[in-house]
Amino acid sequence: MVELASLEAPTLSAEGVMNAELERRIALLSDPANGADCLGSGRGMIMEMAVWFAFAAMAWIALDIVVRF
Amino acid sequence: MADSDGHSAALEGRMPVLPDERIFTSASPFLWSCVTFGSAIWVFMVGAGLAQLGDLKIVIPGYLIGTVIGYVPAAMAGGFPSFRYGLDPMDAAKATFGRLGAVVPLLALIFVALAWSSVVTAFIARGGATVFGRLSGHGLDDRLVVGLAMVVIIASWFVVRRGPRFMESVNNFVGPGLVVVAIGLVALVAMKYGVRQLWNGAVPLIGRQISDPGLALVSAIELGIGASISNWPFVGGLMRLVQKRSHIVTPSLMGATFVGLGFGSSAAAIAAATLPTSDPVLWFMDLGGPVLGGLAISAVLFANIAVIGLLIYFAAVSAQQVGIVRRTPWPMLIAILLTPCVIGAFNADAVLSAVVAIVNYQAMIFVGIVGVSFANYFLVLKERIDLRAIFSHDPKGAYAFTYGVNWSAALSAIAGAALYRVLYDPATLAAAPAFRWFGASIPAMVVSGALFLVLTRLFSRKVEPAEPGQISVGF
Repeated sequence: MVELASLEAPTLSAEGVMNAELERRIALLSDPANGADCLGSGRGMIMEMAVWFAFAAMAWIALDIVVRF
Repeated sequence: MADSDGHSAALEGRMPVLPDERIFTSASPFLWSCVTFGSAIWVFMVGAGLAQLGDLKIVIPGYLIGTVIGYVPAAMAGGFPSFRYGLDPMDAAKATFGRLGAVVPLLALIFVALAWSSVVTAFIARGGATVFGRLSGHGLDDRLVVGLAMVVIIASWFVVRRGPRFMESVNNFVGPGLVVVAIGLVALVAMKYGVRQLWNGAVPLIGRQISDPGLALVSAIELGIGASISNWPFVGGLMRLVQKRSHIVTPSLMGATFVGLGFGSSAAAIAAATLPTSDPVLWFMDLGGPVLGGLAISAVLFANIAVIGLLIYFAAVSAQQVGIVRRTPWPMLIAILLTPCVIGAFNADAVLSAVVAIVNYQAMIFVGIVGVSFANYFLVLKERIDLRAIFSHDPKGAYAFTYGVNWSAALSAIAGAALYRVLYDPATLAAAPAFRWFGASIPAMVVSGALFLVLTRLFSRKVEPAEPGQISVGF
């Protein structure tokens, strides 16, 4: 939420400028060959999230057992 | 000039962000932004509600578990697409709900922003009146509460009208400041009542909402899920500004859940279980003394006007996706979005007593949206979004669906919310027998995602690539 709009982007004063700028950004972000780190495989991030989720789920099970029994 | 600053900044913010424009190039600034984002004044009120659920040694760990369990699917469904393609979360939602169907998560986002801005307005006004009443010896004056609330609302209007940069700079101090305040709160309780109180505290049985420890644990987990799953629309806004994959997961999770949401709420739960009141303002005045504690909490309260400003700004930016709203003058739009705060000003006690219900309603609204978005991005789209189709007006485009709405997604999200409501009543906390085992959010997320996959398999259609020259920002 913070710093959401703090990046410097082109002026959107005319529709033509907006469409041309959108076209340029879409082309760059749609091409995995441009080498950007964010465009690579998301597998590592998924695994990292899965580890955190599994950790929380195991803690839930352990706490549940302690509370119930 | 201020109008055009706020308006143009709002439009600029919706362009896809290129990798070399992203401002978070290392982990620590992103971590601190997530702490700032997670630490808002309402975490103290959520913590006070948490203490009403049962023993601290059960509800605090349960709440922390819930924040992680809620954050993981919300960040994956809402944050990962925004990170990969630099998309505003509401634009990314068009890949799931359709160009016009994205109104569903948009309304959810606006609900969250307006609900919390009303809560913060009521909290500042009531807190300021409490401090004045204590120091002057006159007690709490309801007219002063309403008057202060109006001052807060007018100040918020001026703050939002100036654009986002002032709010950002203030909020960058408010978030970490609240963490420091929470540390001070825990330290004062430990010094005055002993370290054991931090773990062994409990609200007297007669003041609790739930007497069964097993049910208290699951309810605390649900409260944590509700508090963090509402990050779905906001987390994408941060993640689209991150440059590297290795910085995405752990900094955001640590900052937004454990430190931001978790620590502040836990400190508040400890204070609520120890002191004879659940009003955070009175905790500081009791523990820090009427003058020093009163001045400190007053400074914290009024700094949170920037938080109201950010919430309203975020709601206004998102609402501008709709054409008629985009044509509304920026000062008028801010005034319209501040209207619920006026209603809250006249019902401050009712608003503040509804904090736990608001968190649970958030969960009810977002579980279906998160379940469907998750299933679509990872299982249907295989993490690939057609960016051109997101911005395309082409009626045959990939995300045009039927009349601009992906009805499978919309119906599945509604089914998820309905199942949540069957399992758990957000307002009264009445629970079905199955709630004791899995809670309500996880079954609702799984069922909405699975239903979406079935409906998509049954009713999916072949789509054409969007044609050039038909793209623009907005619905």
